Amino acid sequence: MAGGGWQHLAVTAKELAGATSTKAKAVTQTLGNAVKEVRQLVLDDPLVGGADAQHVEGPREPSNELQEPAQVVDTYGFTLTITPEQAAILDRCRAKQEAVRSKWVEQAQEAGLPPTDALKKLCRKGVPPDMRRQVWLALSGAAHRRQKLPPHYYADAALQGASSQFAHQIDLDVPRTFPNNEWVQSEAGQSAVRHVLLAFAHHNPHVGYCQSMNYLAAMLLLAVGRDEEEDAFWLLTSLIDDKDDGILYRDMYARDLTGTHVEMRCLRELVEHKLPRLAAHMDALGCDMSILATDWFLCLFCTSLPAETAARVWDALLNEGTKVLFRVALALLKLHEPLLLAQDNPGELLRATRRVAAVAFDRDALMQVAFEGVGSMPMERINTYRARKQREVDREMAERETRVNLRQAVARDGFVLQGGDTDLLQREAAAQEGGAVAEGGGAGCSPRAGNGRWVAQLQALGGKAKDSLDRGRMKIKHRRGQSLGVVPLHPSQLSGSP
Amino acid sequence: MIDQLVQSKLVLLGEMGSGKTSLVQRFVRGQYYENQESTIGASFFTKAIPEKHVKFEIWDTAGQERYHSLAPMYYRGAAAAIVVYDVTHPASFDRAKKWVLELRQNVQNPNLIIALVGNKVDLAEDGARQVPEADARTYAAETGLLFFEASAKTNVNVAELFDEVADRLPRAAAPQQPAGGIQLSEQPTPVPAKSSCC
Repeated sequence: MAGGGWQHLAVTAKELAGATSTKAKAVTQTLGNAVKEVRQLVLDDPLVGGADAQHVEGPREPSNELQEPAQVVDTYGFTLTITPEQAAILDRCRAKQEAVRSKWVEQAQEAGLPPTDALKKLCRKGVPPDMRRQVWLALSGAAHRRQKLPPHYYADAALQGASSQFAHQIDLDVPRTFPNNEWVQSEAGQSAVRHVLLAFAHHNPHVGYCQSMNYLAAMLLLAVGRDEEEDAFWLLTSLIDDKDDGILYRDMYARDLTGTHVEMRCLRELVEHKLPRLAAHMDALGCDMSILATDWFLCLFCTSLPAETAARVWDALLNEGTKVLFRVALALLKLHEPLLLAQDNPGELLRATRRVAAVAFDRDALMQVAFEGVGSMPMERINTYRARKQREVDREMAERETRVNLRQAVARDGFVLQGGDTDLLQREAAAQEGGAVAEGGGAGCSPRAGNGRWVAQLQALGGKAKDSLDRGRMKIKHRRGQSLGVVPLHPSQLSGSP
Repeated sequence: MIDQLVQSKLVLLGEMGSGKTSLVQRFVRGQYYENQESTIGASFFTKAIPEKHVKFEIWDTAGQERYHSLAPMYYRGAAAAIVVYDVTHPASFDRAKKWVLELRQNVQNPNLIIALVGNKVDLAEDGARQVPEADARTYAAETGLLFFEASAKTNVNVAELFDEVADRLPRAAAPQQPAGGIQLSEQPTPVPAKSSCC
């Protein structure tokens, strides 16, 4: 056991020597400590196991019981629990990475990027870790964004962010970011993550702070350099932008996560086309796509996949855009489809998916399936889905808001719903019990049928209640016009006594 | 005869940082992490209490307000909900009340068990308490909720909380029923024509 452990620790030490010599030195020291650590069974790893997880499935066969897992620390400072088989996979990927690195060095031109015709292929094969900072800044447009603003912009934003309304939430989450990473947990690490998030909250108050951005900020710092707060900030602003020129789809992180709901529904469509059996199985279990994939899309896989595998996803994502997320999601689901089909409830499906993602050490295999194994995926098709899903989500959100306003008005003004009015809310609750994502989930919710009652209620409510109702109603009208039959009321109709 | 466990879906709701995941970790694994990772989306755990013939299927959700729109997916069909607030953070108590209201309005199950839990009571001893126990207890009594003050960190009232929830589950009271309790489909269990006794 000890021999095997030492052997692949040595292998990993070699892998770790990739970045810079000083980093490698520090990492070798950490590895020394890791060797002294007791070997821990994978099922104790909070990332991969449930309480009654008996074993961890690897990308191929479940690990041989004779092969004992050992703990190692990766390039980024994450403690991994790996089997000798997984160590061998890491070794192979490391060798490949070296070969790809020489291609990058050969072809590097302006800003460290290879010529356009080679760029896509090389990004898919992976940016060498020690070149990521320069390459990511160039690919993402972060360098360009920085140039457009004054030199002290970041420092000022970080300072001003401290008085943002999101500062408290950021302070709550910073210590809870990657607890298994020593640097992120250190004073320096926490301070850097906090600054990047505060600066972002100030820079983009529409988004402010969304849980998951803490992981993105930390991962960016780990990948581009622990002292490079400003680079991490500009990269984050390139990813998340509410004006449709961010890399990610709009409003993914904004209030109500509407963009995330849209992306989940698009992914669901793609799964239906590409993996119909899995889609049918998920339907049968009542497992919504967002149960499996919300964290994939919000954390860009950095909390799901091993760090270097996630970094490989980001290499392609920053160059090609969001469809890479769909490709990787489909690849994960496809690679493990038999296992997923064997799960008989949504909880176990989620747990199985997380287990296999956490040990996706074979980044080359995953990326190969993502780009060559899931078929074509033109951006036009995704955009068509998005347009349709966006309308759906907007409508559901507007309905939800109106309903919330109605309820608040009822609660605040003591208005008592009567007869048929009462069952409007009840029917909606029932619809939603069987429905989909957002409150009011769509299925069975029939605004057209309910419209007469809405009007009746609006008329009946009067008084203070009508203001909040009005706001909700106007919003519906604004978002979907007259198409759902919302009747514009004359003010006189609203002023009637309750 | 092998004990049949009744599977019961349980959901945790509450403000971010109130300690939902820590309570689950304490209950399920007997562990506590000072810096518990923030939950994105949701996590799933299972834990059986054999002596009560219950297997909890636990959905632990993300706490930030903007994740609210995902919550119905997790509380849909739940037998029990644990609504968590932080006794040192009054806003989290307000949020808990909103969760209770939403559950009452949106969950059709008339037997839904809701437990209100004031977590981090270990900090209350240091004078950090901001939500008086009496206030929360009164609210819980008026609203028909189970109520506990607990600490995931010092392991106060965690087992008691889940035990109490298990005791209140309607089906746990009839463990002699040999149906296996995993009747999730809509098909009614065939009942012999003259099954009613007494």
